[in-house]
Amino acid sequence: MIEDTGRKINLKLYASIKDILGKDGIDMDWTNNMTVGDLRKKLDASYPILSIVKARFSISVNRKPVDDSELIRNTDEIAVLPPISGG
Amino acid sequence: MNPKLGYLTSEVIHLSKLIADPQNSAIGGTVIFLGTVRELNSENLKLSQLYYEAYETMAEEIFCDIEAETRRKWNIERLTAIHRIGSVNVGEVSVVIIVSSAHRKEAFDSCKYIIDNVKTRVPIWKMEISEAGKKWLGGTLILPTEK
Repeated sequence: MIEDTGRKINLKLYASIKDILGKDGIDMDWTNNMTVGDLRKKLDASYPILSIVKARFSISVNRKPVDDSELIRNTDEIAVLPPISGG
Repeated sequence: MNPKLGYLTSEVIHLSKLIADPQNSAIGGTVIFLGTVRELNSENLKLSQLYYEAYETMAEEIFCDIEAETRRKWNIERLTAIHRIGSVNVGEVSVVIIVSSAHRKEAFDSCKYIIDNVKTRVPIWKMEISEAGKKWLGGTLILPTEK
Protein backbone atom coordinates (compact mmCIF):
# COMPACT_ATOMS: atom_id res chain seq x y z
CA MET A 1 0.00 0.00 0.00
CA ILE A 2 1.29 3.46 -0.84
CA GLU A 3 2.00 5.51 2.25
CA ASP A 4 -0.28 8.52 2.21
CA THR A 5 1.24 11.31 4.31
CA GLY A 6 1.50 15.04 4.45
CA ARG A 7 -2.10 15.75 5.29
CA LYS A 8 -3.45 17.24 8.45
CA ILE A 9 -6.29 16.30 10.72
CA ASN A 10 -7.95 18.78 13.03
CA LEU A 11 -8.66 17.88 16.64
CA LYS A 12 -11.46 19.65 18.47
CA LEU A 13 -10.58 20.54 22.06
CA TYR A 14 -12.93 21.07 24.97
CA ALA A 15 -13.06 22.31 28.57
CA SER A 16 -9.86 21.72 30.59
CA ILE A 17 -7.82 20.49 27.60
CA LYS A 18 -8.85 23.57 25.60
CA ASP A 19 -7.70 25.78 28.49
CA ILE A 20 -4.41 23.90 28.97
CA LEU A 21 -3.48 24.25 25.29
CA GLY A 22 -5.04 27.70 24.96
CA LYS A 23 -7.03 26.94 21.81
CA ASP A 24 -10.16 25.12 20.73
CA GLY A 25 -8.53 23.06 17.99
CA ILE A 26 -5.14 21.82 16.83
CA ASP A 27 -3.86 20.39 13.56
CA MET A 28 -1.82 17.19 13.63
CA ASP A 29 0.01 15.38 10.84
CA TRP A 30 -1.96 12.43 9.52
CA THR A 31 -0.47 9.25 8.09
CA ASN A 32 -2.12 6.31 6.40
CA ASN A 33 -3.13 3.52 8.80
CA MET A 34 -2.86 5.89 11.75
CA THR A 35 -4.69 4.64 14.83
CA VAL A 36 -6.09 6.52 17.80
CA GLY A 37 -3.18 5.07 19.83
CA ASP A 38 -0.72 6.60 17.33
CA LEU A 39 -2.53 9.90 17.65
CA ARG A 40 -2.21 9.78 21.46
CA LYS A 41 1.57 9.28 21.11
CA LYS A 42 1.82 12.22 18.69
CA LEU A 43 -0.22 14.37 21.05
CA ASP A 44 2.04 13.51 24.00
CA ALA A 45 5.16 14.25 21.94
CA SER A 46 3.83 17.52 20.54
CA TYR A 47 2.22 18.78 23.75
CA PRO A 48 4.26 17.51 26.75
CA ILE A 49 2.20 19.76 29.03
CA LEU A 50 -0.59 17.17 28.74
CA SER A 51 1.58 14.55 30.47
CA ILE A 52 2.98 17.06 32.95
CA VAL A 53 -0.49 17.94 34.23
CA LYS A 54 -1.53 14.27 33.93
CA ALA A 55 -4.40 15.21 31.62
CA ARG A 56 -6.80 12.30 31.11
CA PHE A 57 -8.92 12.21 27.99
CA SER A 58 -10.91 10.03 25.62
CA ILE A 59 -10.83 10.38 21.85
CA SER A 60 -13.96 10.44 19.72
CA VAL A 61 -14.04 9.76 16.00
CA ASN A 62 -17.08 11.03 14.14
CA ARG A 63 -18.77 11.75 17.46
CA LYS A 64 -18.35 8.19 18.78
CA PRO A 65 -15.99 7.29 21.63
CA VAL A 66 -13.40 4.81 20.35
CA ASP A 67 -10.51 2.77 21.69
CA ASP A 68 -6.85 3.05 20.71
CA SER A 69 -7.06 0.47 17.92
CA GLU A 70 -9.50 2.57 15.86
CA LEU A 71 -8.14 3.63 12.45
CA ILE A 72 -8.32 7.32 11.63
CA ARG A 73 -9.13 8.60 8.14
CA ASN A 74 -8.08 12.11 7.25
CA THR A 75 -11.71 13.10 6.75
CA ASP A 76 -12.78 12.02 10.25
CA GLU A 77 -14.10 14.43 12.86
CA ILE A 78 -11.86 13.93 15.86
CA ALA A 79 -12.19 15.38 19.36
CA VAL A 80 -10.22 15.20 22.58
CA LEU A 81 -12.62 14.71 25.48
CA PRO A 82 -11.53 15.33 29.08
CA PRO A 83 -13.54 13.53 31.81
CA ILE A 84 -17.14 14.68 31.56
CA SER A 85 -19.11 16.28 34.39
CA GLY A 86 -22.58 17.03 33.10
CA GLY A 87 -25.71 16.87 35.20
CA MET B 1 -29.24 8.40 13.53
CA ASN B 2 -30.29 12.01 13.04
CA PRO B 3 -30.59 13.59 16.43
CA LYS B 4 -33.76 15.29 17.49
CA LEU B 5 -32.70 18.84 18.23
CA GLY B 6 -33.43 20.26 21.62
CA TYR B 7 -31.73 18.06 24.20
CA LEU B 8 -29.42 21.02 24.87
CA THR B 9 -30.58 24.53 25.66
CA SER B 10 -29.01 27.79 26.76
CA GLU B 11 -32.40 29.03 27.99
CA VAL B 12 -33.72 28.79 31.55
CA ILE B 13 -35.69 25.54 32.01
CA HIS B 14 -39.25 26.13 33.26
CA LEU B 15 -40.50 22.85 34.66
CA SER B 16 -44.15 23.94 34.77
CA LYS B 17 -44.17 24.38 30.99
CA LEU B 18 -42.71 20.91 30.48
CA ILE B 19 -45.30 19.10 32.58
CA ALA B 20 -48.31 21.05 31.31
CA ASP B 21 -48.65 18.80 28.26
CA PRO B 22 -52.08 17.50 27.19
CA GLN B 23 -53.32 14.43 29.03
CA ASN B 24 -52.42 11.00 27.69
CA SER B 25 -54.84 8.39 29.05
CA ALA B 26 -52.22 5.62 28.76
CA ILE B 27 -49.99 7.30 31.36
CA GLY B 28 -50.18 5.88 34.87
CA GLY B 29 -46.99 7.33 36.31
CA THR B 30 -44.55 10.13 35.64
CA VAL B 31 -41.09 10.41 37.19
CA ILE B 32 -39.17 13.66 37.09
CA PHE B 33 -35.46 14.02 37.81
CA LEU B 34 -34.24 17.58 38.30
CA GLY B 35 -30.60 18.51 38.65
CA THR B 36 -30.20 21.94 40.22
CA VAL B 37 -27.17 24.08 40.95
CA ARG B 38 -26.13 23.95 44.62
CA GLU B 39 -24.75 27.01 46.32
CA LEU B 40 -21.91 25.17 48.06
CA ASN B 41 -19.51 22.90 46.21
CA SER B 42 -17.88 19.77 47.63
CA GLU B 43 -15.23 21.94 49.36
CA ASN B 44 -17.92 24.18 50.91
CA LEU B 45 -16.93 27.05 48.61
CA LYS B 46 -19.80 29.36 47.71
CA LEU B 47 -20.51 29.28 43.99
CA SER B 48 -21.88 32.15 41.97
CA GLN B 49 -22.57 30.11 38.83
CA LEU B 50 -21.82 26.93 36.96
CA TYR B 51 -20.78 27.08 33.35
CA TYR B 52 -21.55 24.08 31.12
CA GLU B 53 -19.72 23.46 27.85
CA ALA B 54 -20.78 20.74 25.42
CA TYR B 55 -19.48 19.12 22.28
CA GLU B 56 -22.90 19.93 20.97
CA THR B 57 -23.27 17.73 17.89
CA MET B 58 -21.95 14.65 19.70
CA ALA B 59 -24.00 15.42 22.82
CA GLU B 60 -27.21 15.63 20.78
CA GLU B 61 -26.39 12.32 19.06
CA ILE B 62 -25.62 10.52 22.32
CA PHE B 63 -28.80 11.88 23.94
CA CYS B 64 -30.67 10.55 20.92
CA ASP B 65 -29.01 7.12 21.33
CA ILE B 66 -29.92 7.06 25.03
CA GLU B 67 -33.54 7.96 24.24
CA ALA B 68 -33.71 5.19 21.61
CA GLU B 69 -32.20 2.62 24.02
CA THR B 70 -34.65 3.67 26.75
CA ARG B 71 -37.62 3.32 24.43
CA ARG B 72 -36.42 -0.15 23.41
CA LYS B 73 -35.97 -1.32 27.02
CA TRP B 74 -39.19 0.09 28.48
CA ASN B 75 -42.66 0.94 27.30
CA ILE B 76 -42.47 4.74 27.45
CA GLU B 77 -45.42 7.00 26.72
CA ARG B 78 -43.53 10.28 26.99
CA LEU B 79 -39.88 11.20 27.44
CA THR B 80 -38.30 14.62 27.87
CA ALA B 81 -34.57 15.17 28.47
CA ILE B 82 -33.03 18.64 28.49
CA HIS B 83 -29.60 19.81 29.66
CA ARG B 84 -28.51 23.43 30.07
CA ILE B 85 -25.35 24.75 28.46
CA GLY B 86 -23.65 28.06 29.18
CA SER B 87 -23.99 29.90 32.49
CA VAL B 88 -26.45 28.50 35.04
CA ASN B 89 -27.17 30.35 38.28
CA VAL B 90 -27.40 28.81 41.74
CA GLY B 91 -30.88 27.34 42.22
CA GLU B 92 -31.59 26.97 38.51
CA VAL B 93 -32.30 23.64 36.84
CA SER B 94 -29.27 22.28 34.97
CA VAL B 95 -30.86 19.06 33.76
CA VAL B 96 -34.37 17.66 33.65
CA ILE B 97 -35.51 14.14 32.77
CA ILE B 98 -39.24 13.40 32.63
CA VAL B 99 -40.52 9.92 31.85
CA SER B 100 -44.13 8.83 31.72
CA SER B 101 -45.31 5.26 31.35
CA ALA B 102 -48.26 3.06 32.22
CA HIS B 103 -46.68 1.89 35.50
CA ARG B 104 -44.40 3.56 38.03
CA LYS B 105 -41.63 0.95 37.95
CA GLU B 106 -40.95 1.54 34.27
CA ALA B 107 -40.93 5.28 34.84
CA PHE B 108 -38.53 5.09 37.81
CA ASP B 109 -36.18 2.56 36.18
CA SER B 110 -36.02 4.33 32.83
CA CYS B 111 -35.53 7.77 34.39
CA LYS B 112 -32.57 6.41 36.40
CA TYR B 113 -31.15 4.75 33.28
CA ILE B 114 -31.29 8.04 31.39
CA ILE B 115 -29.63 10.24 34.02
CA ASP B 116 -26.97 7.58 34.78
CA ASN B 117 -26.12 7.38 31.08
CA VAL B 118 -26.13 11.15 30.63
CA LYS B 119 -23.56 11.35 33.43
CA THR B 120 -21.23 8.80 31.83
CA ARG B 121 -21.69 9.24 28.07
CA VAL B 122 -22.77 12.75 27.06
CA PRO B 123 -19.84 15.13 26.40
CA ILE B 124 -20.75 17.99 28.72
CA TRP B 125 -18.28 19.68 31.08
CA LYS B 126 -18.96 21.73 34.19
CA MET B 127 -16.94 24.71 35.37
CA GLU B 128 -17.43 26.04 38.88
CA ILE B 129 -17.26 29.80 39.21
CA SER B 130 -16.68 31.00 42.78
CA GLU B 131 -14.82 33.66 44.71
CA ALA B 132 -11.78 31.38 44.47
CA GLY B 133 -11.87 31.57 40.68
CA LYS B 134 -12.88 29.20 37.89
CA LYS B 135 -12.32 25.47 37.95
CA TRP B 136 -13.28 22.67 35.53
CA LEU B 137 -14.59 19.70 37.47
CA GLY B 138 -13.12 16.27 36.86
CA GLY B 139 -15.49 13.45 36.22
CA THR B 140 -15.96 10.33 34.16
CA LEU B 141 -13.92 9.38 31.11
CA ILE B 142 -16.21 8.47 28.24
CA LEU B 143 -15.55 4.83 27.38
CA PRO B 144 -15.85 3.38 23.89
CA THR B 145 -19.23 1.89 23.12
CA GLU B 146 -19.24 -1.87 22.83
CA LYS B 147 -19.03 -3.10 19.26
